[in-house]
Amino acid sequence: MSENLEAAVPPNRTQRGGRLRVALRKNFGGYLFIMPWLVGFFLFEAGPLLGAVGLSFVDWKFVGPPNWVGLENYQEMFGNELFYTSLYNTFYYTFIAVGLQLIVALAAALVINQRVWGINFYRVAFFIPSIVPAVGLAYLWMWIYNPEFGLLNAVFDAIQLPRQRWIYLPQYAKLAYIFMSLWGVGGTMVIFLAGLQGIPEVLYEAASIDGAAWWARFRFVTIPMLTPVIFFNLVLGIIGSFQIFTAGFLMTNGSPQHSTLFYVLYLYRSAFEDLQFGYASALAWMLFLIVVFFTLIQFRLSGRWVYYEN
Amino acid sequence: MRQKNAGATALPEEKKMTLRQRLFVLFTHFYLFPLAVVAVFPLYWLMSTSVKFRGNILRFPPQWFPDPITIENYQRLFITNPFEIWYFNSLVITISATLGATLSASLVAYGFARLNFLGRNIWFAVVLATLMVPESVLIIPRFALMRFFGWIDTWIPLILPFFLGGGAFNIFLLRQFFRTIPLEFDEAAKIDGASNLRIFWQILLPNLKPVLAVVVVFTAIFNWNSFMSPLVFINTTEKLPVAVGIQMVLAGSQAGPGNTGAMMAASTLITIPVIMLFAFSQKYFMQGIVLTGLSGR
Repeated sequence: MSENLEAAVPPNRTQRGGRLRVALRKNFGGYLFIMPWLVGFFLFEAGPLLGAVGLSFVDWKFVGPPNWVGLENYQEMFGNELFYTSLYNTFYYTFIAVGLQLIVALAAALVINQRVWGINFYRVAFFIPSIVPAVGLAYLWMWIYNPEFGLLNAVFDAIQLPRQRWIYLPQYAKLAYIFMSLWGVGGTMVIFLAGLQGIPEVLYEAASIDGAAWWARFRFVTIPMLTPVIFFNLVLGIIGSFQIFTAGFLMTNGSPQHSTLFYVLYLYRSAFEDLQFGYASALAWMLFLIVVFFTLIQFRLSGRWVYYEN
Repeated sequence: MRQKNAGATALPEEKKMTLRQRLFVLFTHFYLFPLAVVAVFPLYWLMSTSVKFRGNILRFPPQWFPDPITIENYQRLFITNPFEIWYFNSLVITISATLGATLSASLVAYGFARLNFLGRNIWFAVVLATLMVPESVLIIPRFALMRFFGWIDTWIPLILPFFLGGGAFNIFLLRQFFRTIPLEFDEAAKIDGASNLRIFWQILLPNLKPVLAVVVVFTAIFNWNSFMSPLVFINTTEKLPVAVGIQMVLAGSQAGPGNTGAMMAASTLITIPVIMLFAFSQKYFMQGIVLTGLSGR
């Protein structure tokens, strides 16, 4: 038996080794080039993501060993009023903000997509607010929303509307954040612009020959051709808005009456202020599931309205 | 490079315009100019407030033009805080991380775009899937990991990850662009005996300047603006980047409308490099965005 094996193995092994070597050589180059990403992925993405699952089942104050508590963190989460408040605030912000952002960004992209002398000036002017650092943005808008000396109330005074307390009033605070976010739609606008410039001129010419006025051209050429870009911006916009943190952290820090306690702010507080790492990890996983859920839903629905060539 | 674009800048043969066209141009400027003013005004407000005296800041209705102009807010900012140290820290962190991300993302994108290997499509799908993973979901385990390595209160957590992959979005962007370069380039070079690395570095990368500009600008701005990671990973005041630094001090004893001038000065100083970076790369940047196939095709 063993003699048989010994007799059979050597040629077999060289053969397999040869094939393996060929396969290695064929694949080695590619893996060498993507190696930095692979290492980063396992170390800083996949590892932590799985780590968060583990952490969500323990009680851990960061000093001392973690304590296995099973589903207790999740029970606490679903029983905690602040969890629902922060979820509500975040959904409220996300859905209104992303909807308005898409409309404003598309409108801006349309008006700067013209062959007019000096158009680059307007492109830059509309884009630049979007690169202002979040910290600067937060301080600037705190100042604009200042109830006593703020710019917005000055404008309201000028057009004879009553002054408001903006971010300091529960019923307006989230709307104030949404309004502020519209100032930073430049990135979305530029992506729309790129999309608009990718629409072949021929289609517009054909539509004009068929007697389509500007609205018909917009409705039946621009919009359908732009649906992949709208979809792209919608998906990334929702993922981004779910994560609103810096502005909320700096401007109102959750107040008034928890009306601006956004989900990630709540998560941050639970982890790094209350030092409940297990509970915060449960919150983190919940957030991940929500983001994945909404992204998948959008991909599912995209077949009904997104138009792809070919 | 592509099919004729609907919105390309004015063509030379259009020099002679009819009256109708002139009126149309005038009308366009007529409504675009006020819109541009509204868009830029908050930025003007930020900078103009930063050079006003405290008495003129706390005035209602507000003073539209700063008069007289003062730098007292900037002086106060630098006297009460180690502002120049934070600024320097931010520069070092941003430049290192951007360098790492650009290098690493182009290597990885080259691999995905040009080399055949087993599981390539699956791994690329994973790259795209990581776009869905929010930073805030990973921050706690990453914090634990960094502490395990002993890297808390160092810049390593802010820089190292960018050398390892350089960001899913950058990889995606660069891969799209690599694919627009004809494969004959590689094949010709391969016949001449060039290695993959050489093809990548000497033949393909020089063709990628516009999109590299986009990656550099996006990544630099991202890192300069980054807030949550340094907030979590750095404790020592002197090691903070400027974004978190100004928050730490201005949120404390100096808070309140009386300190608005210093807050605006700090916000101006943190915004200026970003605007300068954009201004320098503007031409490449807009060009790059249009060419990258960002349009989802």
